[in-house]
Order: sequence, then structure tokens, then C-alpha cells
Amino acid sequence: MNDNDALNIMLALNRQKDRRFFMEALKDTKVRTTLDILDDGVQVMKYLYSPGNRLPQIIFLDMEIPVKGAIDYLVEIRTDKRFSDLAVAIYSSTGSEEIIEESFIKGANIYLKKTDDPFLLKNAVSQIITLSWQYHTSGMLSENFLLNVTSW
Amino acid sequence: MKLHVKYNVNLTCKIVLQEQLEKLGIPFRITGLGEVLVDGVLSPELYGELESSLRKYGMEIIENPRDALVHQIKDIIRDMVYLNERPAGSRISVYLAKKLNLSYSYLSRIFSDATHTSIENYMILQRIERVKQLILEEKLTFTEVAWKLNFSSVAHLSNQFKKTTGLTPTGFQRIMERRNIRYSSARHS
Repeated sequence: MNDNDALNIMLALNRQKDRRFFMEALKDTKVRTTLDILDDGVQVMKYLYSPGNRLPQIIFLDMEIPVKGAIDYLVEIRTDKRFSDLAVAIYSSTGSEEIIEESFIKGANIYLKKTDDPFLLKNAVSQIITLSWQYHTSGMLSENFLLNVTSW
Repeated sequence: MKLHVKYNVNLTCKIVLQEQLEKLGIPFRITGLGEVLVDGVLSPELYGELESSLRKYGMEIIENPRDALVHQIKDIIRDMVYLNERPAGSRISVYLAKKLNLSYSYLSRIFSDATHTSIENYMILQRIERVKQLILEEKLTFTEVAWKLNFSSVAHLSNQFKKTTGLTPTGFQRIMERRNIRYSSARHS
């Protein structure tokens, strides 16, 4: 992996507003990124399983993503060895300790709490992308990659 | 049964590199971490063969000297964190500048341009990764980890861990243990 390559990102978020926020935030990060936007979990899994598709290094899943919700898709991704290097970020409106911990136990790498403040979100996305980039380019163990961004 | 294998990445890479160069009959001298001196200039064919035989091991020849420098900085930081290779009391900036014979301001600019993070932050990140490994694989206590990695106290370790990951070391340990149980039993059922 070369430092000049890009980080492939997949967005599967419910609200149009969140998508717009994310796209704005991604524009401002220094890391070069590619972006695929999908509407629901079925599309996400179909995309991941289709041979020849450009695999993302990080996927943002809305906690309430249709059809089954993020956690079910997370478990599906984590039980398939092909995706062991794929970082999964759960984007959720709840800050409940219990739900955060369950998400990590089931294999999430990142837990990002929703915010309507574009400035906070921008900083959080930038932090996530920069950190993912280090894991991606420095051969760090991706299963130990855990980041909890909920402090607002 | 789960076996825990400890390995020395630098040694492994050096041996792979040696073997591949020898196999292709290229006279060489390994002059440093990820740095090889070969006699004369390699023919394009030989260069191509070396490139493809190294690729199998996830290794690539870096053509841009700036990228090579960034890799060298990363390697030195890794050694500082993993092998404790750092003279006591010396600052990273002084140590790196001396080791690479370049000014620290130059190194830090090249590094952050390429990696989008600072040398200091990268060092913190590597230390926290090492903390995770020591907790999970070698089952050290937080006090032992803090001592081994030269944190001034367990509180300092915990603060830096929380700042980097958003989790406490205890929370991280609990999550990873429960995750391992969950997925290892799922695999066996």
C-alpha cells in the first residue's frame, strides 16, 4: 500500500441531510478518498459480495439502515473472512453505553454518535478518516482498531 | 486450540529480502531498515522480477525518495516503541534528526504531508497499539504495561488511551475479550 493511494469509503446512511454533511466533511479531509453511496443494507451486502467491485476500506452504516438495521449487517460482515480488513463505523443517534459496547463486541471498529452540528461532525469525520488512513497505510492490526466518538 | 506466536517483523522482512535477492543472483548489501545497496544498476527485467517476487510478500520497492524517508521514520518509531530502542531521556525530535542526519523540521513536514498526521501523533498511536497488544496477547497488567512503555503512570497511560480511542483501557479489554468469545464460539458451532 502506497501513501499516495486513496481511502475507499462507503456510505449507507438514511437521511439525505447526513449524507450531505458527510460529503462536505470528506471534501475537507486531506486524505484522498473515493466514495460509494448505497441506500440500504441489502444493497451494501450485494455490493460487497459481487466479485470485481472496488472494496471499501471503511463503511459508515446508519444504525437504522433498512432492512435489518446496522448490527445484523455488521455481524454478517464480521463472519466473512474476506472482509476482515474492512473497518465498520456505526452511525447512531444513541449514546447508550450498553449499545455502544454491544456494537464494538459484535465487531464495529468505530462508533459515531449523530450530531446536527456540521462543525462537530466535520471534525469527527476528519479524525476517523485520518486514523483509518494510518491503519491502512502502516500495516496495523485492523481487528484492534476501535474508536468511540460520542462525546457530545 | 489457539497459539500465540510472537514475531520480529523486521527480522522476517530482512530474511525474505535476502532470500529473494539471492534467488535472483543479485549481489547486495543490506544497509539499514528497508534499505538495500546493489552493485551497479539492475536491468529492467531483473528489476521487474525482483518487484514481482517481493510483491508476493506484500513488499514493494519505493521509488520516490520522500516516500522512502517517511517509511524510514515509521520504522524508527516502530523500533522505538516495540524494541525500546531509544536512548533514555532523549526526545524523539533529537533522536530522529540524529539517526537520519536531517533537520527535524524537514522530517516533520515531509512526514505530515505524506501521512496527514504529525510524527508525535503517530508515535502516540503506535504506543497505544502496543498497549493493546500487551494487554491482549501478553496479558500484562496496566501497571506492567505503563512501566514497560515508559508512561509516567497508569493514569497517564489511561488518559492517552482514552484520548486516542475514546475508550478506557479496561473497556477496551472487556470488549475484546467478549468479542473473541463471541466469534470463536460462532466459528466452532
